[in-house]
Amino acid sequence: MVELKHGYHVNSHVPTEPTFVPLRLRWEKQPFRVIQIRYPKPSLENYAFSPRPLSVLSGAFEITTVLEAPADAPRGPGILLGWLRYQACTATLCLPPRTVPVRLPYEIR
Amino acid sequence: MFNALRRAAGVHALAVSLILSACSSATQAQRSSVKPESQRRKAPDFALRDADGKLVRLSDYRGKVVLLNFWATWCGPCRFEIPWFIEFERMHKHRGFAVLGISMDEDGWDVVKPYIRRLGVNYRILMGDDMVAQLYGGVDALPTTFLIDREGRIAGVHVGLVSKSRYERDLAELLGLEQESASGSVQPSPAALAAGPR
Repeated sequence: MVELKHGYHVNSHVPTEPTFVPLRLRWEKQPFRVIQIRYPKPSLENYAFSPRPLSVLSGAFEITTVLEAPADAPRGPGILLGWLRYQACTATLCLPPRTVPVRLPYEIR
Repeated sequence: MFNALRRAAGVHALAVSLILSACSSATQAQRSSVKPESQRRKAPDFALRDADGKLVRLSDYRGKVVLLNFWATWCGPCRFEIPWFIEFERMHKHRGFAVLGISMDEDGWDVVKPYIRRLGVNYRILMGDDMVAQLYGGVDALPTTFLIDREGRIAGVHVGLVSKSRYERDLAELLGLEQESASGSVQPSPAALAAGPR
């Protein structure tokens, strides 16, 4: 779950402008295989600074990951490490792109 | 009689003074956000490379009014301002004015050069770094634009997108265009400044 401060948005994983920084979640490979990362459906929003609507996310949203554990993966609990890269703006300014660590507790039974 | 006239003149002068003061306040509100000279501090000098690899210092521009714009290719509001700055550079270059763009793109010239070529940027772009950002107070948000007077002092700063007319008013004051008007010379209005030379 990702929650943005009121008034901020982040570019979606498919930004409208090629120079904009897309939302990206990456996971360490071990011990899973990443089958799919599902980003929320972006909304097209109009901003005074853009001649066309921008593909963005705001408020609270979820990013879902489908993982597959190989048959020989060690059983038991663990923490999967990942990184979320995003770039946030308001209607008048932008903050630099950030990459923040993500920790996902799991248990292989 | 003489005293009565003096008192009347005094009242008249006071009334005129109040009216002038009111006009001045109203005009100030619509005018620039440029700081009074007494409140300006020296703009930190820096040395950064331009697109040709030339080392450029802010102090090279002493004597000129400089619009120092921190920006990046991933910043939509920054892109919106670029055509204004292109126009300001073209219109005021001969008045001792320059726009300097400091790119804060982590990916460097590989992304910046094609971008500025595509937008037809006619002013100098420098590649920024954390050090220059720190010198200017961190520059956490883009665009951040400093207006630097001819003495190399920070006369104003805009964080985030502001209106073009606000820049026009600021530049008119720093370039002394209003003083020209006061002395009877031709005064381009903000609209004329926006439209360019005819």
